[in-house]
Amino acid sequence: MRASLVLQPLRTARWTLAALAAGLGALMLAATSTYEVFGGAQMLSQLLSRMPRAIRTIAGDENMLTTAGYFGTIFFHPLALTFKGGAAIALVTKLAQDVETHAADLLLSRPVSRVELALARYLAAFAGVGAVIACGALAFLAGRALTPAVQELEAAHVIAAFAYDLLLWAAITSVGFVAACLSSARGTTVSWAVGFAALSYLINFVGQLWKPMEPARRASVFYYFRPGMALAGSAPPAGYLAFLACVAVAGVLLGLLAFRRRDIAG
Amino acid sequence: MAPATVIEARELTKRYGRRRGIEGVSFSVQAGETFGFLGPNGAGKTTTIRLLLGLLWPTSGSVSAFGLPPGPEAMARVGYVPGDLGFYEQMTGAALLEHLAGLQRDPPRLRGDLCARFELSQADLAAPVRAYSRGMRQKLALVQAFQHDPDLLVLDEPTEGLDPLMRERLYELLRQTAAQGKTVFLSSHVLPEVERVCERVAMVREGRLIVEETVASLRARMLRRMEVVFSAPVDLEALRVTGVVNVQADGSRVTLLIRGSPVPALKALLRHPVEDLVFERARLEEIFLEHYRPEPGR
Repeated sequence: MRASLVLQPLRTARWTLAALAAGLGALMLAATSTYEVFGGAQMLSQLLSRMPRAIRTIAGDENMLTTAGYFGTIFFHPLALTFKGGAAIALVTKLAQDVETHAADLLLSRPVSRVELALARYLAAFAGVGAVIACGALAFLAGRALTPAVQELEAAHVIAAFAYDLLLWAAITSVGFVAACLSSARGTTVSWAVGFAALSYLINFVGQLWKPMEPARRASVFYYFRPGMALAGSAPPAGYLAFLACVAVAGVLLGLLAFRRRDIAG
Repeated sequence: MAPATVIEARELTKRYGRRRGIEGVSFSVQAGETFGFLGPNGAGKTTTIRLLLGLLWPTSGSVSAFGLPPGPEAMARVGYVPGDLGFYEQMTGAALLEHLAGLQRDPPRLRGDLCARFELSQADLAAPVRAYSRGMRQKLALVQAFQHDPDLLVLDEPTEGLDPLMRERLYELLRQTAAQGKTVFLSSHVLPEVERVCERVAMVREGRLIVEETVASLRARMLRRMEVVFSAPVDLEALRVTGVVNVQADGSRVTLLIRGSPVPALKALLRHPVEDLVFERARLEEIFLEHYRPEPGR
């Protein structure tokens, strides 16, 4: 695997990535450093009881009355999802863009196999999302150092929660990767990737609000993501981790197979 | 010893659903040969090239380069100038050349010479590709294809956007490349350039190969026009010698249509009072037009 095939899309998207990483970092820093403003569990309980159920459901399965649960919800914050999703989409769609613009012709008319090219593009997307998430983790740890109430969460557990987040995004990115491997247009890939992430989020959200839809939550990758557990220091169910890992690996393998067999025609 | 076969296509077929790509195309290109691949737009030239490079999968048949199926091993010896230039626009020319060279197994030993030949200065190369004109992009495409000194050049419309001076430099480069025993596969619809640099040509029409022959033998089979002005009346029947298929007179001006060698006609003319004579080479363009003229009823 030539490092330049991984680094080239990262270099191209460096300013976008920097902006997204700064955004996620700012969000994490703001969330941790303002925690004490809410006045602890009792005040939060009163605040939450006045909120409509649909708003409270954004917190997912997290118990917001605990510090770990409160910060578990920050991973589902629309801005956090936008920053991480933006990084994933900006990079994972590069492969389809290469086909669309005929840049792939120049790369594949060299001693570069299709599998090498596609895998490099996935790794670039994974690294880009990882960099954004790492920036979020660092900002969280910085906010924790500044706010005594957040220090209840151990640094190792914070890192574990962000690693869990990376696993979730590896799975989401791999589904976008399948779309990129099948498509000859970046726009189509963006639509499929955003569509998958949005649908997955919606299934999980509606499943919490409406009892008959509850079993459908298992079809959503967000169902298997419980960052509050990781922040509290208890290991998430192994099945949840395995599911996300399987989606990530299966997506990559399916994408590689599809890209290997398809015609490269922009 | 017979020269090695560099490209071999056997009954190569590509269909895009119901749409035609190419159908049963077979040809071979030998080492050291400059091979022209001709056809109008949409005839199947680019499809054939994309099959050769492994960018498309054939519906049936096969194609190989250096005896290898399309893939990294074969591509290590290939330089490619695409018809559609897909460059990373935000990269500088120098960074793009470096990036592409980094993917080759051989170092870019010819880059300096090529940049000088095509007048790509350091300042040009320091600019982002998005600022390049069409001609500069084409020069960059040529440099990236030739820079690692490949054994096979696959060129899809390589003179597109080049000015006449740069075209001449490319022709010179192609001649030097062939003289070094390298193979050139040149796809074009610019017939004079194919005629200048290629020894052998293939023509595709509606996805099928209709001609595969040397340029010289194609010319030999063509009708050629000889216009003669006589200073005195002549017996036209005396001019109907071997090779002359038609004789037409317009006063003292006589037009002969000749197929094959002109020597018998020239010998016949020596016996008459010739005042002026014009005899043009058969041009590839005429051969091309003869093959691509719409069939009656179509």
